[in-house]
Amino acid sequence: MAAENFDPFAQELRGPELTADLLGKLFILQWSKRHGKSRLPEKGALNRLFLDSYENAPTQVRQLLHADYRLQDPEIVEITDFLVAGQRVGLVERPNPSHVPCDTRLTPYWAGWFLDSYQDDFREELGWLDGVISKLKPS
Amino acid sequence: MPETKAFDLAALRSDLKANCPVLTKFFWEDLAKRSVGEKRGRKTKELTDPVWHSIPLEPVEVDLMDMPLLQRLRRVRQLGLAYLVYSGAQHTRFDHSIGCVKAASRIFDQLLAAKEAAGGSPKSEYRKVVRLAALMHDVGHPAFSHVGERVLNRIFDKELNLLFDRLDQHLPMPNAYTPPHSLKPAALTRPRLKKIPAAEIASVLLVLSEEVERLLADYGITNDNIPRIAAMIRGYPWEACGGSETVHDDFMRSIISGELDADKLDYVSRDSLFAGIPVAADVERLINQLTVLKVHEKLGDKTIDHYVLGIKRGGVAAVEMFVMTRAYLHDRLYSHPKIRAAEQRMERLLEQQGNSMEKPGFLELLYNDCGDDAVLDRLMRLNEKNGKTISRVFIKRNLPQRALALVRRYLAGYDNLSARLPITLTKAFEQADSLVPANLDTFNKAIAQIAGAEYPDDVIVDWSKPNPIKEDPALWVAQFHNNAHSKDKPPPPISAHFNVEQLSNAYQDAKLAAWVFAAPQDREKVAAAAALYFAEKLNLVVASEALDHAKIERSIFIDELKAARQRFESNKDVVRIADGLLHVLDDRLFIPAATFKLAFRSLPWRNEDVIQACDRLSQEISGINLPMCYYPDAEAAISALDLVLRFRQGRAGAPNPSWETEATMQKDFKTFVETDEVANSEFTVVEHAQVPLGITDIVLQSKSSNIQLVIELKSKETSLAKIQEDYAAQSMWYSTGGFGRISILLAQYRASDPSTPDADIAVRHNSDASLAVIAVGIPIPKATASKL
Repeated sequence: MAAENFDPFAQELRGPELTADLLGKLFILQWSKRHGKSRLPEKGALNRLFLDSYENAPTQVRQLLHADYRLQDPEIVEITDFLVAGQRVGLVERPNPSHVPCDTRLTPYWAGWFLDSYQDDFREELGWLDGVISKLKPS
Repeated sequence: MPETKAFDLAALRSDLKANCPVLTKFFWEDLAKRSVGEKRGRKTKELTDPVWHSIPLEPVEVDLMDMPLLQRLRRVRQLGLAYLVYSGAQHTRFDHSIGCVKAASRIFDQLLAAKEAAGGSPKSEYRKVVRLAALMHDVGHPAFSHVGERVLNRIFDKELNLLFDRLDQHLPMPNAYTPPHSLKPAALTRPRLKKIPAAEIASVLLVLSEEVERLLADYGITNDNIPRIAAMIRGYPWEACGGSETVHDDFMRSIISGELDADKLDYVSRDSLFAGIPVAADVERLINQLTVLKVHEKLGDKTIDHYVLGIKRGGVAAVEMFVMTRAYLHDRLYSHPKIRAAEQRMERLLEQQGNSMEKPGFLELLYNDCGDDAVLDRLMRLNEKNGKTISRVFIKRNLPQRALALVRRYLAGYDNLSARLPITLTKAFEQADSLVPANLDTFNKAIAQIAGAEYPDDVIVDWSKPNPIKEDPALWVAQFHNNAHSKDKPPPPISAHFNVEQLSNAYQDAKLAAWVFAAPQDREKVAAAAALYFAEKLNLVVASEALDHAKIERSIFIDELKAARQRFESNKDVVRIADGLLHVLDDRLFIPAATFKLAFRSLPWRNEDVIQACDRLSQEISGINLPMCYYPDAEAAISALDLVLRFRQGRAGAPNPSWETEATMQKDFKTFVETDEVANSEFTVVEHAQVPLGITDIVLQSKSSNIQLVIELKSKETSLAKIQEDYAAQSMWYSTGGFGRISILLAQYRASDPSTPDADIAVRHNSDASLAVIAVGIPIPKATASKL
């Protein structure tokens, strides 16, 4: 391999795609930026929040979400992905079972720093998430 | 069979043909025509099966089973390439399809009887639809099962998306039950799935073919049932459920598409049996404990009876065991590193082949009548390069092997006691989690090139994650004393007992690793190249556990890392990162330069100046003689540096900065931290704090960790260098005894010449380099200072 003819380190990386995982992480980061280390609302409240905010969501978000229909309300299937993605990378800590609260880890200072990386690619989505989050308080 | 409004299949076919010509032509004009023949008037049959023991089939099912449509599946292995690791895993999609018929029947019969017991009138006419859906749910699987499916997804991405949308528009049944409470938001009723399931769409296309319609009609099954079968395969409830305005058979959807559906019940049992992995799932008990619960809803002057899937109290443990078993099989079988390596290598081969030939020809290859091995054989003959690769990798079984594990707990800085990564490293991992999947080709190619791999196409970065197990499934627990449920007082959901799905997701998370694979000959050099690339691009610094987990000899890895360093010695960034990795393997503190950008993010510095300062600080801090477990100390110091530099900017950047005494500085600094929204969110300030060796000016207490950090403030009419020389030791002295090992000295000094911001930041160590201080100067021009 002729390293002198090609510099693989110079390859630019493409920005991330919006997936349910990433939307979940952005939600948790945006939440942490507003509320710091806190307790996320329980799943039912999160579900209602996303359902209520669905019509105003950016197109990419609307294409991502889908519902499982339950007796009480439709349930956003991706709520599982949101929390599992946050748990996997270390943004939330989740005791079991799910009606036991779910705690976020970052202070607004750090959450803001994480979000710096996504401001250019997902400005609209982050604005929407901030609006969604403003409707709820930590439980 | 249920009688429903006639469905216009001809219109559906004509629209799909016009919009999705390649796929519809292949599945309808080629595959269906040659795979589905005339009715042969078969009799019922009873098959012997290792999972369900005996599976009785109806004449129409026997006829379908004996046609190439299903016979092809006898040569498509259920688990793709898992047999290369578990030699018993030779069972096929055919075995699974037949097993699903039995599982679906068992669940259906159980639930129908339960519905009758709950006061509902049973509708046994759906039995045939359920069984046919189970029998045909996998007929669209290509060779190598999900491996082939993922390649189809990539190569036919646009047409599959279009098909998905068109099917959405055509398939809703006009007279299916529509729950009134689910109408808002309407757009959510037809969402885009995150992954278009190619094999499922192919199965639906085959079910919708003229040939299947004709055959079913010959057995008296009218064409309005065909979209119902299709809806069951797609997992859409309303079309599948039937019902009426006042009765909602919600439980029906759970038979073919749910957390305890026939598909899962069969594959968990069958896969574990054939792979030889003993599991604890008690499917027999699980089915016997399923029930139907009636939930009454009053809606204006209308009432609706919902019949939902329930589990008796005695079956809760069986559900939990089943869910845990699925998670366990993911670890042992579906996500086994060797199987993942083999699958990824085959995917790459198939994708290269697919991109180099006409699309219909590629479909013909993947859906050939002779299955998996025929594809291998044809690939070998199609071109010499592929032939050599298949011979080397699959025939002689030189599968790519693990070179590096990329897991949170195997990254440098991970704290085993708290099971956490420091925050800056959490960010690096979080970024990697978003960026690597979007840049896999770049990562594969770059790592192969850095390594100079002998087999570059065997270098595979595998960052795939299984879909999480759906938490809070639609399953309710039957109560002994209370069977009168209403929408306002529903039965308790199973998750209220114990959320085993959440536990399973945590288990999968703990077990799952992202990997870098490479040919056996290339393992160590690819490991070194990958470690270098991930550190340089994403600040992900692996610890030696990442090597152990991949069975990479540490000393050879170090040699390869040094060799790579030498090959790229003209690139200073790479050299620094390589040195940092060597540092970490020696369990010494290393902070990548990019991490220091945090401290400069709010400053109006030129990017080049920031990079230069970060590089210098990274080198100087990494010169401290501390193990990697002190990373949080450095992290706290960097975030404090951010705070201090912003404070400095406010003072030194002012038009006419005034000279301040130390007491005023201290007061100003405290006010700054307490009133600044960003600073205040991270630190609390303690003035004149008592430390073991005296009283220091300021102690910052981090809100993110238990780190306390000493800040000494000085205001001296002398040069910064002199202040550093005189007082750096004092700051470090105060930092002993439980404080962060890196302190900060903030010094107002007399600047005789204009200084560059970078020159105002310096790092000093103590004699044994076990402590450090970051000294930050606030220059006050001589004229201003002299006024004092």
